[in-house]
Formats: sequence, C-alpha cells, structure tokens
Amino acid sequence: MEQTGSPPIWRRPVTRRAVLAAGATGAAATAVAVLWKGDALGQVLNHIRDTTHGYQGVFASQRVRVAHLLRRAGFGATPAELDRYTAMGVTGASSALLNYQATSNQALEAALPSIDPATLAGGKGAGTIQAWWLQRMLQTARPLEERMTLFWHGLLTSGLDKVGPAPLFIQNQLFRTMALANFDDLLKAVSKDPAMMLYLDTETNRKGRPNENYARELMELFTTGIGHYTEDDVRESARAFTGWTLNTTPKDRRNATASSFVARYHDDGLKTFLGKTGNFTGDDIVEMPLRATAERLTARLFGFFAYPNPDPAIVHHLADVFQQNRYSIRAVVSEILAMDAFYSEQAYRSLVKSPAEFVAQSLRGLSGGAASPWTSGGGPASPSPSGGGQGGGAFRQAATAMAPMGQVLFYPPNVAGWPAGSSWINSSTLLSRVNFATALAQKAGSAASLDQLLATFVDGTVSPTTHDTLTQFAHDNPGASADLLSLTLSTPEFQLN
Amino acid sequence: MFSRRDFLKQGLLPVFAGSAVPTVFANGVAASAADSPNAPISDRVLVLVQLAGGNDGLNTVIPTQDGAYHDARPTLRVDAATALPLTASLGLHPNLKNLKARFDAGQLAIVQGVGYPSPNLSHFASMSIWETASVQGGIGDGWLGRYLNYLDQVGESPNHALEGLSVGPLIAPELRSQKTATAALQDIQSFRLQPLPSSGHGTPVDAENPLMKFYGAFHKTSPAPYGALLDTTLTEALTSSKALQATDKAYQPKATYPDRSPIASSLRLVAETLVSGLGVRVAHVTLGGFDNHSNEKPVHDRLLADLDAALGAFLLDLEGHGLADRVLIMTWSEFGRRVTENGSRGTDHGTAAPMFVLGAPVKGGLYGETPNLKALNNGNLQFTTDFRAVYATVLQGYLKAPASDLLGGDFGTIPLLKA
Repeated sequence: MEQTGSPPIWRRPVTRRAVLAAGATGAAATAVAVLWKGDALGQVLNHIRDTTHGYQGVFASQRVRVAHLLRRAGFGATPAELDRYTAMGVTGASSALLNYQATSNQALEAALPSIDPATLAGGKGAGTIQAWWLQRMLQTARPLEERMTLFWHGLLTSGLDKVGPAPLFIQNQLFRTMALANFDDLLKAVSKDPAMMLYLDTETNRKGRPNENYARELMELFTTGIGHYTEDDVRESARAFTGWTLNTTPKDRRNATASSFVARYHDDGLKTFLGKTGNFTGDDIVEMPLRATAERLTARLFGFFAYPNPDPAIVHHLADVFQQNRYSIRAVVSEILAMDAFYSEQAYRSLVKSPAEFVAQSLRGLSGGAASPWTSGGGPASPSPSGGGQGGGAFRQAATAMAPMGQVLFYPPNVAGWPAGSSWINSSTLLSRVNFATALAQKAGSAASLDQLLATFVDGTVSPTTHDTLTQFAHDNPGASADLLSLTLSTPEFQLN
Repeated sequence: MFSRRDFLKQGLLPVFAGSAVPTVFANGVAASAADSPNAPISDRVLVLVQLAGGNDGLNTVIPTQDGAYHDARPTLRVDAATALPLTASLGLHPNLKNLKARFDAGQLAIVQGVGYPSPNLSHFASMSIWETASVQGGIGDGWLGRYLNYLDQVGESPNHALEGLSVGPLIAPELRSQKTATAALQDIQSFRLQPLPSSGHGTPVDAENPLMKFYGAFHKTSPAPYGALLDTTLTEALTSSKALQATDKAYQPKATYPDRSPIASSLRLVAETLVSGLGVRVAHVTLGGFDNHSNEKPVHDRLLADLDAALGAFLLDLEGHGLADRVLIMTWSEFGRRVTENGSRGTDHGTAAPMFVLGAPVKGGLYGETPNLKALNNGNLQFTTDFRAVYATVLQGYLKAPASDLLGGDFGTIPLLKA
C-alpha cells in the first residue's frame, strides 16, 4: 500500500515538528489536547470547542507518552512510577517493561498470600484467586507480564463455570510464565493444561471416541479463525489431540492440577489435516506454521495494545515479524511498542478500559495499591481483611466490584472471552463504574488537588467541558477532595484507555 | 409524539420525584387494568429466551419411538416411559412439566426442525446468524434492533432506553442498534446513582449535575465511536434508573420464583419492568450452559428444569398481573447437537432444533416437520423450517411490523398465533 521511498505508516516518525505542523494546518483540531493550565488557552478552547475532534499533539509530551505506555503495557501508574519511567525516556521505559525478567518482583511475592492449590476446592477458592490476581495487577513491578497474562486469559479462555479454582490458578501461572514465549510452545502447553482440558473437554477425548470441542475452538478462536479449515479438519485434528488425561479421580476432576499422556488413549492412525496426512499428535497440529494464525494473532495483539482494526499493512508487517522470529510473542509486542502507530493520534484513547483495567488503574493510581488504605488492609477507612492474607478482603471486594461492570476474572462469558470495545459500555455497566468510583473515593479518601488527579488519571487532558465542570465543582465544594476523586474516575475520558 | 430530545429533557426534570409513574412509562399499568384479549399492538411485548451454547433439541423434544434415536444415544437417550407425551411418537423432556401443561392448555407452539441453509457449527458464527437474521452474520444491527428502529420511524415509540431491555451485564446482539438506545440491566436496586462521598458530612452532594455536563459534550471532542456512545449511554442510564427507582416499590410478584436460579431472577426482572409499565417492547434473557460436549445428562436435565420452573413462574406472574395477553415468549439456541452422542457421554455441535413459542397469544401445537434421523448430513439433522419464518411470524403476525423489510426477504410465516 505504501509507495517505495516513503516509510510505511507505522514507521513514519511523529516528530514534534510534525505535530506542530499538523496543528498549524488545523488549529481547531489541536485544541482537544487540553492542558488545564492557562486562561488564554482556555478562552481559545471555549471559542472552538464545538468543532474540535481528535487528539493531535497530545504525544508531544514525553510524560503523556510514558503514561500511555503504562496504561497499555501495564495497569496505569502512581505519580512516582510515572516519574521513574519518564526519567528513562520512552525507549528505556519500553525496554524495562519488556525485559521484565531483570526486574525483581520480590516485594509483590512477599506481599501476596501463599496459596496452596489443594485448599482452593472449597467455596471461597474463586474469590481467593480473583483477589490474588488483582493484587498482582496492582503491586507488580513487572506490569507487562501481568498485562500479557490477562491477554492470554482472554484468548485461551477457561472459566469457573466448568473448571475449579485450582486448575485455573495453575493455568494463570502458566500464562504468566509463558507471557512472551513462542506461541506454538504456549499452545502445546495449553493443550495439556488441566484447566483447558476440562474447559474444552480434551480430558474425555479418547481414541475411538473423539470429542471435537478443543479442536474446533483451537481453529476458530485460538489460531486461524473461520474460513481457513473445514469440518473435516476439525474432526481429524480432534483425533490428534487424544491421549492426554488428568491425574485425578473422577470425583475430583474439576480440581485437577496435572495431566499426563497415556499412549493407549491416543489415536495414532493417519489423519488428514489442512491437506497434509500423517499420524499427527496435538503438538504436530499446533506446530504447523499458518499464515492465517500469524495475521490473526498479531492483529489481536495490536488491537490489545494500540488500536482496533489496524491497516492491513501493519498486520502483514507484524505477521512477518512473528514468523521470522519463530512465533515469538516477545518480538511482536516489542515491535508494536516501538511503532509510531502506537503513539499516534489514532491510538490515543482509542480503547475502552475493561473493568479489570478500570478497577486496577483506579487503585494503582491512588498510590500504588500498596500504600493505599483501600488495598493495604490498614488505615481507618479500610474494610477489614476477611482472609487471603494481608489486604485480601479489600482485594476481594475490588475484584467483586468488577462483576456489575461486566467482567469477572476467571469467568469469561464463553469460550470467545470478553467482547471488548463498545460492549463494555451500556447503561448498567457505566452506572456501575460511576458508583465504584464513589465507593472507592469514600473508602480511600483523597488529599489530592484537582490538577494532581487529572495529571494522574487522565494525562491532564480532558475536554473543555469536563475541565470547566470539575473546576467549578472544586470551587463550589471546597474540601470535597474525595468527591473530586470520584468525579475524575467517572469522567468519560477515564473510561477510555 | 415525544421526541427523543424531549424525553431526555423531561427525564432530567423532577418529574420522576415521588412514586408517581411518569406518563411516558404508564402504558403497562393502564393496559393491565384493561386486560383485553387482543392487546393493542403498542402494548405487545416479545421476550426472547436464549439457550446459549447449543441446546440438545433431540433430548428436549424427543422422538420416543424412533429406533434411530435409541441407537444414536446409548447413554443419553430419554426413556419413552419418562418423556411427557405430546403425541404417540413425540415427548417433552421429563423436566419440562410446566411447558407440558402449557402445551396441553394450547399456549405452547413447538416449531420443529428449525435451522438455516449451510449450517455453521461455530457457536459464534451461528449465534451471529440468528442474532442478525442474516446468514452472513456480522456485527450489524440485530433483528430486534431493526424492529426498534422501525418503531421510532413510524412514531410508535417514545424512543427511550428501556424499550429494548437486555437482562445481564451486556446488550444482547439481537437488540443492537446504531440508532436506538437499549438498556442492559442486572437488578433494579443497584441501578441507581450513589451520592458523592461528601454527602455523608452534611448536605447531599449531587453527582448528576457534573456527570450530565461531562457526558453532554464529550462526543464533540472525542473521536467516534466512543464519544457519542459514552454521552448517550450515561444520559440514558440516569434517566432510566430514575424511572425504575420511581416504580420499583410498587411491584409484588404474583408467583413464587425459584431461588438461586439466574434465569428465574432474569424473568422476574422482566416481569417487574412490565408490571411497572416502563415501556419495554422487547426483552432478552439468557440461560447458558448448553454446550455439553461431555457428561451431558445431569447438566442438561438441570438446565431444562431451571428453564421450566422459571417460565412457569413468569407466566403465572404475568397472569396474576393481567399481562399475559400482552406477552409472547420465544426460545432460541444457536444450533442443536450432533445426533449420535460422542464418546464422552456428550454431544458435539449440530444443526436443526426445535423452538418454543409460548404465551396466551399463541395457538398451541406442533409445527414444522419432525426431524428425520435417517436423512442426516455429516451426522447432522437437515433443517425443515427456516428460523426466519418464525421471526417473520412474530414480527408480522404479532408485532404487526413489516417482516420482509426487517428480515431482508420473504420467508413465509407459520400459523402459530391466535387469530
């Protein structure tokens, strides 16, 4: 699509000069990038507010670039974290996020309750692992690792409707360990993962009586997508995945935490899959290099980090990177975070925060989770911990609060995961977000000024109306800092990512 | 007619204060008093019950005397002796006792063998086909979203958010519309704006005023699509939550809904909105869990029992409130299951299956052809009735809307409604 000699759009540099030039050609269009300071600017904005569209110029600020990066490759940031990452520069910050193995997560691991999977089978197990994961999102020193774990949970789904908390806890750690691994390695591990085996019935898929569930969703949802395989391919590949069984008694199936291969359960006959014939195993199936998978997965990753529906040229490029690097997820994510498209006007606030992101960014922005009375289990306004270690009760409460917003961790609505984007926004879920913001502000309190709140949560970049309304509210209600926190988290700006 | 803008303005005035039902929402109460055998078209309500995951049609409406069924389901077949007989050769699943009673009372139409050409065995592709009533599927307006658009066009509707109601955290894709707002609702008590924190220390501090300002202008500065969506949604949320709060206390169920049954809670919520006269025209509830690839029997038995108990209570409640003549209930599922059970005592994805159309407006009985288990295609049933013929029946015959325009073609109708 690009002419020779012209850099592809994802590489076209967005320099400060380009931003200014764009602003000069469309003065009205720059105005949305509102900094709340400056009366003169405010007057200009008032004049043209009805004609402004877009966020041109917003990325001229290094701090905004880094804040955007931390929202997309993490769960937001405290002011102190934002300072620290901004000091590294955008490239340094990306690199630190990507190479997270170099960052110690000792503080988090020490703060987390220790969980013995054997104790999760009871009624409280689901709440325990939900609180545990939210605490990780809030307190991790490796935000991208946690973010990718959420990505895999949303793609390679398994859920509490069919699977016990213990296997889901094990699966969650698999996603974390292999967060940036090679995709075929991850699929091989997931095919034998007890939670997945339960969720999509691989555990009962046996020689002579195949069960198609996993084979179908592997093709339809996890890899190529519809249109790249036939019903015969589904039936044949189901045979290839036979042979794996759960190491458990039938009574404890839902709580199985390990699996093993039993040769006599495996159908080692010839199978014909996508035009090739052999006595394939499941590993052989997921190892087949498929361009359709490369394009679909990289488009989804781009949509997760940057913006939805990328130009085909971007997808082709990312699929090339993916295939040239032996299906390395790290290579693709690294490439996306380095693209100018990632820091483009098109990317800014182009995604709707999922409830997990909304809750985690709200809490993390307060003061990093750890120091906040809401999340530490200490402080006068905090609910008393009711189990799961320090602060468990509060994390549990916050994780539960996501449900009326439309998301329950470890409980996707179906095997396709959560529908993203506009699906998150309806009258019921939006009202729940506003009410969560109020409940949070009530519990946590706030001493922050309006300027500090806007800088922390919305890059200091809000619409003129939002800004004027908040300023007026602060003026009319002196001392109502908690109200300002609630209102800031309730702005339309903060619902977007 | 109320315009949308008038409605929104009106909604923000203290017209909802106290327990008075605002006139715009008063349809239901007035109609229930009249309780005419032929409800005015503007009062007719369609309730869709989605059986998500692919309901096993053959174990719902059972060909009790068919040897092929017997052979295909060695562990899963329902005994002819326990099935609730509809005819000499067909029976309902034993847990569908209320539905059987409604069938006997002439209020349940069972349309057999429903599907569409070139069946898609993907949950999501097939759901999308049913939701959009288009064999291409896709993410366009849902078939009932198009109906709501039609109501707005002909001035038949006040166009407020509650005319299309999805029970649950998400808008049902059938109700999706680019033009008409619809609401998702989980429960009425939590669907209200909480006062700001400072309210505890003295005078209540109102969040509504600032929120209405934020969400009144965001679309001007935020690129599509989310700016406009957020603005509309918050405005509709505040308006409809006030309407609901104003009427909430009046509702007393006239039936005992089962505890701990999400589908019963969902239908109870629909009943509450109908009794309260909030202007609901179409409602959508979901019962999930039908994708039984393994160990199907206990799960499917329980799901059908839950469905039956919930529908039974819902109908009694409607009758108790004099609303039964106004409400048509229709079940659907994205597909049936494979005829032959798999090796996991479950069934894989299939094709054609029966639909239930239920309620006082229905002329009960069996419609369509009983599936032929000896004429399978890849182990799957061949459909004999297009689901769009059922949709057309409901749209044209019951809702009096132009079915072929809304469905993009003429699929015929089925004589399953009372004259």
